[in-house]
Amino acid sequence: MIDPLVRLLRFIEDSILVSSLTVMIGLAAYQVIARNFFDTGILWGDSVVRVLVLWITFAGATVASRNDEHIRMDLLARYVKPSSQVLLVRFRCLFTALLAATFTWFSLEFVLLDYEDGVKAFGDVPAWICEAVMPVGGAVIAFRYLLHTFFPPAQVSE
Amino acid sequence: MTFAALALIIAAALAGAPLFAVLMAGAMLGFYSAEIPLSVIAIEVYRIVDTPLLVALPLFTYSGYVLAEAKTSERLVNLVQSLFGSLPSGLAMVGFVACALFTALTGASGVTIVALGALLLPALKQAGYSDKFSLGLVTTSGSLGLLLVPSVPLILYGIVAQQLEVGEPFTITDLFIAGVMPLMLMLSLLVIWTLWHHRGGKIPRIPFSGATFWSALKAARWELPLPFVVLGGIYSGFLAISEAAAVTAVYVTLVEVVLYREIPLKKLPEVMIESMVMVGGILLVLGVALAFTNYLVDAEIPQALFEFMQTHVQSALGFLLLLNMLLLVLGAMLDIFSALVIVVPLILPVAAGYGIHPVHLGIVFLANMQIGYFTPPVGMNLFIASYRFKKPLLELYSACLPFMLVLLVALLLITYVPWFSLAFID
Repeated sequence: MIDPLVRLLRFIEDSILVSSLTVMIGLAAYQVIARNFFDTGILWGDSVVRVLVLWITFAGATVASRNDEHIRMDLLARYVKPSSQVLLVRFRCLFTALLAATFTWFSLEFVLLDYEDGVKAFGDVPAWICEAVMPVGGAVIAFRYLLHTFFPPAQVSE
Repeated sequence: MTFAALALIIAAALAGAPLFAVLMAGAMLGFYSAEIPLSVIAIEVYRIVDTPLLVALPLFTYSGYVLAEAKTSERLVNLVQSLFGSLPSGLAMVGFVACALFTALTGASGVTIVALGALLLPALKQAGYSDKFSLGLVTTSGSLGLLLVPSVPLILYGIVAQQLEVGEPFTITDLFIAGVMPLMLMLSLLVIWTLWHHRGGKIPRIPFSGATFWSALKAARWELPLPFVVLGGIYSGFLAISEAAAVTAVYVTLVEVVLYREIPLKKLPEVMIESMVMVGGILLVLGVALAFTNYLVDAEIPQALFEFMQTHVQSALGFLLLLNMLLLVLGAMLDIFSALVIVVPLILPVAAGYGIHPVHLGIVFLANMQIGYFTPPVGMNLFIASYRFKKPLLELYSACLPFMLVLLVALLLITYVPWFSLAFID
């Protein structure tokens, strides 16, 4: 039941990452050439590129959640005996899932507020479209870590 | 209640919860107890969009991954070797220089050890260097180049430090210029030590061959302009850092996919995803850290820390000495990104209170982290090298020790002689 959903999710995340980066590289490079050699440039070009950074951040972070590959401090885990490892993993994944869920909630509040007020990010583009990646990404991360809590991923030791 | 929540957060951090979750929890707890609405977290994270400099990060990281995927490392070593190979201990110098350049381009994520180490280690041994020396060289050089543009930690320090707005104002270019001399100092000391270690002509020299040089040059012809575009563009001020990053990304893709044809077009999305996962992880932490920092500043924690420090440590020199010890320990335990976003907001205001220039502090901080990468028992590069070269950790500890001592001397000089960092800054 859950498998096709996860696969679809993966495909969407991968697509967002690849297309965001491709557009970003193309647009940023075009701006450099246009600005330095022809003294022009797309007015909203830099804004789009910066919003894409946010999109990449959240798409990349959700992909990193697939196998629990986020940056961590990991001071204790090394010294815990393997039999207790699973418990430790469950604990930290539940903690992360709860935090991501909280973030989803409050960023949703932020997005809805901008939606109601009709705030524009740049040009005619409403801000909520740019911001929506935060609650969506947060929700996916929360979902992934909830899964990890119940089905702890195999531990990759360094 | 607050105390229990704090204990829970610390427990989660120790258990290895992702840093973004730990920082987010810390910031939320802080804002909650200050009765600030928690949606402020989302507003803070959204500020990623207001930081034009951040555009450089995904672009440079992507370029680095592309270069690591192609045979760039091989061509780099061949070229540098054909140039310096005829000098005494030439190949060792090749190792230092090639590693520094490659680390700057790829970010110090262990890629250098994996990509360059595998080439250098057998070459060094074949040239007559001892096992121990060769192993020490490739392991410690994996983080050399952290101070050179466009290394990601260097850019990140700039972003975090400028965010804080304490101490003397500086531009990001100031920071890039500041890193050059300290890196040269490290390279010089390493070379001097290597020459002394192999004095008496123990290592046979390979005569310079014009033909070899020419063929290495020809092989690397498309990648050769790269350092000039990046370093030249940025240092001359012709390109802003994000512009240089964009040009690099396009150029590198063109070179490796179309001209060298070492990365099939079909494989490119895979490289993109791999690199953007790394970027996503770093930027999410940074976004949350911006919120966390804001809370710290609001709560006047750095000030309290400074006042506490001042009652115990009077001089800037004493502070720096203490800082070095603290950072060496932290550098070995934390990865560089965690250290950057947690420690810099705490120490920079304190350092500024002692009259230390933020640029100088940044160089000192990164130089410490660089050594932390291979500080026993848990420096990250030690694990990577142990895994990559199938050597026990204990052997690596002893192999790295002499290099570490040399770099510690460099660190002391960089710390106590601000001139190395600040000579070319107004």
